[in-house]
Amino acid sequence: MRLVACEWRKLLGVRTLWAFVALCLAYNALIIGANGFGCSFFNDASAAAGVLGQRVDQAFLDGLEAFPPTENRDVLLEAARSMHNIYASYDTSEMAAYYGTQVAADPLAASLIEWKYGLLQPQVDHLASTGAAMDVYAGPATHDSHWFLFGALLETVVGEAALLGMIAMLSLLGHESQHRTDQMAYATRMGRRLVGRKVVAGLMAAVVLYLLLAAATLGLYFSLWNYGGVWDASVSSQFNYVVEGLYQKPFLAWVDFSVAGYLVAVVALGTVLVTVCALIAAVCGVLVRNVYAAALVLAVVLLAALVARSVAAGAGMWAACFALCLSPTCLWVSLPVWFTEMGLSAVLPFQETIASVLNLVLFGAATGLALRRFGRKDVVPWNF
Amino acid sequence: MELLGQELRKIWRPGIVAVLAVLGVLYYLLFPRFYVEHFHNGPNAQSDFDIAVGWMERFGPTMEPEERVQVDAQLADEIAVFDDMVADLPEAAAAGIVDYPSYTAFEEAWVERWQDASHDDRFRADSELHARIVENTNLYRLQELQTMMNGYDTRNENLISQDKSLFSQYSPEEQDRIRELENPAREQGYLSMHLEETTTNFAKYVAVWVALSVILLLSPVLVRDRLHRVRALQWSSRQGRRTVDVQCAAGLLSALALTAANLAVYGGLFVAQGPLALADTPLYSFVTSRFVWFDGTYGQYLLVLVALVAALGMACGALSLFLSRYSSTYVVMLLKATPLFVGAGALFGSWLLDRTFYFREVFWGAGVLVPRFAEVACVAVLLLAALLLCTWSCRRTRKQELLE
Repeated sequence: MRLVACEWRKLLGVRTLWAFVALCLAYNALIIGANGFGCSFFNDASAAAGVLGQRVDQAFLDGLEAFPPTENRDVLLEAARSMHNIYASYDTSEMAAYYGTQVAADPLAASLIEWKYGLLQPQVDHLASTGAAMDVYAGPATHDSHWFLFGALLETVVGEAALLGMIAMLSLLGHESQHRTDQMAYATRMGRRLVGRKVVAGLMAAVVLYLLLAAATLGLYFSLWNYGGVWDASVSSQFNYVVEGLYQKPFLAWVDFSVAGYLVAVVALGTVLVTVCALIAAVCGVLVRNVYAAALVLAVVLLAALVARSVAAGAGMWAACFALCLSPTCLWVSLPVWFTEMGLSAVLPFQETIASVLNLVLFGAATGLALRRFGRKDVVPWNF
Repeated sequence: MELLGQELRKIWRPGIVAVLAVLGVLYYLLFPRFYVEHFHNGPNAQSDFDIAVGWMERFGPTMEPEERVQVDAQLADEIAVFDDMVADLPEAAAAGIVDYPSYTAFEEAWVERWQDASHDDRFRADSELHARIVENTNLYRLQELQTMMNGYDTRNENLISQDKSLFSQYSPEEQDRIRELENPAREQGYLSMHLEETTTNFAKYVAVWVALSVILLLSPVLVRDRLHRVRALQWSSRQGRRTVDVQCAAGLLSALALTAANLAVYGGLFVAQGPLALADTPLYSFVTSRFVWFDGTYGQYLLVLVALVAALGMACGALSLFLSRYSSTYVVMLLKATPLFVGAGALFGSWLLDRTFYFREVFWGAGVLVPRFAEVACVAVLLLAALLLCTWSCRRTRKQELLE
């Protein structure tokens, strides 16, 4: 641990890293500030839900009607009056048919999609029985606010943290060769095992930087958007939905999630994704001695997965497409719909969780193999 | 010159060129490929383009009132073709659709039911019939022709300059420009909204890639020298401290060469789709009536976009060299290059090429329009600042002691 602490001190000494973190926070603050539209309505809806509860029933409507008349109240009241239990008659075969036509050329893909949506029907029936659709969430402001928080903001935070984690890992792994202390360091008692300590320090740095960015960014966001009355809302409220092109579908998670629970789950899985990215950087950093070359290889690897999925989908190679959906970059892109059925981005329930764990195991093993290989190589400077 | 050649070889290493090529292919497949493969995004866009190209060949860059009469005959021909095609559809005949007027009546009723949300069985059957007619006739071309003819016929009607409430929202300079564009004597072109949007979106992606590729190429250059501690060797050579200037010149030449190569590749892909058939038509079009500050033709507009992207590439190159000179390690350089790319490339580059010279808001929801040719001023300022910083850093380095 002492060595890990020493490695941490190296990172702390990279002032540019902290300037970059500050820039990330400034950028996040900018996008939060630019997304102020609807904040007033959201806060009013949340305040009303805080007093009346999330479930829209006659008591809710009567209570809301007793509120002082304002434009926001009137809009919320009208929206609440039009609510009904959308899951009571909802059939997931409709979604299966929609996505099935897109993959119809591949019988295996079509059967997987149908199977997946067959598994979702019991959850829909459960949501119908619990009346989750009747949670007001934030009324008509739900969709935009939910998608900003989980689509724009958290996706940005996870992306920034993954980038920082990868750079931190490359910085630690390349530190000795760039400062020409590698031969001295690897000649010590610790020897080449030092690289393993660097990887550990890099992983810890990635997680800490992620939590720092997430805490600061979400702290600012929640200071402006009052989620007090919304935390208990079901994310499958009828006001929350997913739009893919011209197709609109409800936000159907595999289990019951409140907004608070969903946020915790997404942040937690984001930690795993950031760790995976740092492990990929570790593999590149250990195998490719030159830091800049390692960074370029890392960029190619991450981008290639995303491109390959896009090309496979366009070519109708659905088996390859589904496999590539497990890659870290594709996972990151699908962050706004984690823990839901995810359309054509998933064929398994909780695929994002399964994929994250698989990637963690895979790239953890790859890092171990890379370290083992490094332990057997001659330390020769590489001119790039 | 020999030193310049050596510096250029240091920049253009096979490894980094190979990685840039791979990244370039990946970037193309992910983003701008859509605007090449779907240059005409849909049958409407294809019809607009074909009609415009046909008019260019018949009437030249603009249509005179006396030439407009000939378009009536073109419309009659298209209607006759539609009548023949719809006669071959038994299901259309069964629904009483035997010619264009009967189709128009059917379409009006169908749209009314759609707007009333009367999605009963009859509506569904009519929707299927409508789709069959659209797929099996020249309906898109016919209706786009009517739209373009209507745009020409009404180009001097519903003028913004005559609507006091709308007109007053513009600044005096913008109002003068609107009056200029809406002058009945002004010549207007045939550019469709689809072509304008394809051009804009493609240009944005090209600008972002040019910025990224130049930054990736030049970022490690001076850092590598610093890490390899060759400054003493360089400064004690025949060239002495002039090496610094040669390195800067090599970097800027490389930025120019890479930008030119990128523009050649992407320009070739774009031009291969045939937009230059409308190169001589005025940018201000009666089809879209989008106000624009630029007075030239579509072809001249493309050249200006190329110049803007080239300037952006050079600016990013100069800034990369500047930042590289003050970076002790590759990681520090990456931490500087990333915000440089995000700021100058992704954000500024996208903004710069997003409907350049059109009346557009500074940013969404700003309520203030981008001033006349502000894009040119912005990129000129960026380029000048980047070159000044680069030059200043060279001069400063030449005056430094070796151990500083």
